[in-house]
Amino acid sequence: MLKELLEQSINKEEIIDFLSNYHAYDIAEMFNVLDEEQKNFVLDLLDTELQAEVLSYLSLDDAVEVLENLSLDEQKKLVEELEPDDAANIINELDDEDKENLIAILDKDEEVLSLINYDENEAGSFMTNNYLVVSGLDDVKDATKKLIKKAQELDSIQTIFAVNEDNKYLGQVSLKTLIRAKSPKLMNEIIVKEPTFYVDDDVDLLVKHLKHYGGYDVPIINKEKQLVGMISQDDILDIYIEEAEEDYQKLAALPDLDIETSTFKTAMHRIPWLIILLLVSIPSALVTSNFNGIVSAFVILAFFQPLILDAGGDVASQTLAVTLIELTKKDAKVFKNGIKEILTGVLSGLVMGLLAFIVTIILSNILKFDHSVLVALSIGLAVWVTVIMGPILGFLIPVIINKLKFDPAVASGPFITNLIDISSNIIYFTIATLILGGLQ
Amino acid sequence: MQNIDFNLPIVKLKEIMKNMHISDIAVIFEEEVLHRQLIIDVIGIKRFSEVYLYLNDNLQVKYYLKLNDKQKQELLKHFKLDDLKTFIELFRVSHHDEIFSKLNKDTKEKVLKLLKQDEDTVGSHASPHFINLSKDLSIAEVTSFVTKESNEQDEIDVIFLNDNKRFIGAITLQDLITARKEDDLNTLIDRTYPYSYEDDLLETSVRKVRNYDVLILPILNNKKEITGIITQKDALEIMQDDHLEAISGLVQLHDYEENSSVLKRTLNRLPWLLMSVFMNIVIASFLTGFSDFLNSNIVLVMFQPMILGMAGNIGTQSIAVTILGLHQEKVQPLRHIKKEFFIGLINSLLIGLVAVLVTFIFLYFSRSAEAFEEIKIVPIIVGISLFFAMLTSALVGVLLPFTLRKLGADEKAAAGPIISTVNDFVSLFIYFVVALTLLSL
Repeated sequence: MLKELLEQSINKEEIIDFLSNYHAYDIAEMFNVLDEEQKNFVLDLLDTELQAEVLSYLSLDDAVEVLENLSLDEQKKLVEELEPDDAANIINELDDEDKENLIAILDKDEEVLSLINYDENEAGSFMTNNYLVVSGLDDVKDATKKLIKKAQELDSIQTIFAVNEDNKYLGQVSLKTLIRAKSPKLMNEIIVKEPTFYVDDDVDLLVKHLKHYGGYDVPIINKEKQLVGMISQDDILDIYIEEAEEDYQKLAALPDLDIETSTFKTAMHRIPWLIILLLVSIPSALVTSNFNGIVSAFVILAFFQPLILDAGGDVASQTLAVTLIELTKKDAKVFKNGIKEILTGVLSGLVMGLLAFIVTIILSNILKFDHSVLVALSIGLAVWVTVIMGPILGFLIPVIINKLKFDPAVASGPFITNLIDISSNIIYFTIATLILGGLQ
Repeated sequence: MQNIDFNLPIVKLKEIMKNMHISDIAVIFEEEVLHRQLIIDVIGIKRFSEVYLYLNDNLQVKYYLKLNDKQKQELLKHFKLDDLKTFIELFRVSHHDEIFSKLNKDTKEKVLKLLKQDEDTVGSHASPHFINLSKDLSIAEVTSFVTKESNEQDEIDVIFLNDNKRFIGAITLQDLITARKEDDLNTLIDRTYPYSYEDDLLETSVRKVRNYDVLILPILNNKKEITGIITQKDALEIMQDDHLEAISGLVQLHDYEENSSVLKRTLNRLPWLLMSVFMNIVIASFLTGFSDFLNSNIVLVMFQPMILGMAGNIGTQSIAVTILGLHQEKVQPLRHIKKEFFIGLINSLLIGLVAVLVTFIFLYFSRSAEAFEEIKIVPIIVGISLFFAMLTSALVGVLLPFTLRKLGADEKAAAGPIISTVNDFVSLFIYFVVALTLLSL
């Protein structure tokens, strides 16, 4: 809509009027389809405050592009208007030279400066330091007065934090609770101490706690337990969503998804995984070659191989998913779950093996195979054992990876499945040899 | 997790538990079976009602049934409306009346209304605890209402304003308290404030909360009057459930619960697994037509897992990308299909070529090729089969979720065992046909 409007009339007042009906998020969406000239034109029309708002809704890459096109002075003004953590993210993406130039002209007490130094995975890089801090000994009336006085310049007043005289975190209270509190009452009496995190904690840790404690503005402290920043609830929400999507992708052996990259690039991104999986399937070929004898004697076995591989793969993926879910919980009962999964495998495997046995017998009679009972027995037994093995691997592998301090989601679905193939093949052909071997 | 000594005097226990987070108390309640009544006495029934909702579903039901009438009434009294609805849904329908009988008439009516609404729409998840005032009030009147007259359960972070009952916008608490008495409310109202309708999908509303970064999202009926709200906290919870469902869907894990017994898990998963077993065997019998052919070319069996595995892997990637894209509502069907088709083409080609090399090297070193000719031909068979099998699998993986959606079915079923079994056999069929063709040349 904005694009059409721009292409028709270039009357500034009309455009400004049009935009005033829209939320900054919607403006950002419309912004995305404009060409560079149009983008610059529209930006100039907006006041700095609205500029900053729209910028905060753009993707990081787009926001960086916009900032790069501005003069150094304009950049400074915009950065001062942005929320510190958003500003820090954008500045960190600039070219080194641009970044240094910009940092040099910012005011020394600009909040964003302290945030730039954090690694993008650390809690510190997500925090903002623009919120209200009061003393635990303040009366609620005074705290409220302070709040009203500073409200205009603060990014968020949803949560008010309280510290002691050494600036150590005591607790926090929501705006709505403070407003309803009646004097005389000390802040200490209404604040609640929420779980805190250190500046260099990994953001994954935060997400884990979030699932347990629910959403709130998270206080961030330094080693001396002093309050240095907070991560707002909506930023936590964004972090959570990103993590959730990552997990899903890893489970399907997909590299980081970017909907916008070119076809060729995306294909190249997925190739490494596919090649690794290809190489993992070689041991299976090795196993089969060792059992050439029994396979030649009973070609039937070749046709039932997918059954064994699928059964093993399916249950292994299920246990993998369950184990991954458990590992992300704060009170993980991983081993207890693991045992349950394995026992489930024993039970399911029995039923599946039984079904396989019966159906195979019926079919072999119809199609007149030799030694139908023994073949069916081999298959049924192989299914059972494979379905027990599946959960064992689906449980052990992510747990071991986790213990080695790697992200267990790396043990993705396809990876486990192909690994299981090797053990399933060994089980299948060994059982077949034991039962049918004498008949060769 | 803290270990609490329950032999301490109650006063001490009260102090300890006063500062504990609700979800931690819930964990302790679950574990300390003998001390449950003591815990309730220590924290009080009001706080207990907050803890209650953090307990696992089974315990919530079992424990409630053990309470006497008075206790039940007391507990239910403190539940917020939408939490009450979630709680009731844990019980079998035959039990609902018993619970309703413990509620007061007004609450009962409201809960019934919530229960009637369709699960997937946001209307059924909305909470009625919001502030909705006329735009004609003065700043002072609004402030006074918010600070003095609102219910404790009401969310006051955003105040919604109406013009003759129709929603026109909102003002945040932040803006309200920084306004001066003389300011006109009308100039401070944000008329671009986002909202959702009662029968919008839950997902859409949750996405709005995230996209617009709002603390509270108003839900309107078709007369544009506010009937409920969902909060950012709600959005997070819904997303957590959603995420769990997505992962579960990918591996056919239905209704997974941490505390379910071995028997329950088995029963849950068996139907799909048995179907997979059955189909596998039936289709396998069809392939036995190739028996004689395979008998004279046993070396081909060695590479079956490779064909099956790689077709499966590329299929999974394809399906997952498509489902994820559909889920995020970011995809344009034609563009996506075209893109995935080309990716499938490129990758199948590359893997096919690499496989030729790998297979050749393997055969050379393992000396399992019986005749010299096999060393030359088999790698080519494997490579070509891989190419076609993977391409087919990738295509199916892209088209299937779209087709399912068009037919009104859940696109996540595309990752199910039926599809993967059919996929497997199509791949094997391609393998045998290619082998037959090339070996008879």
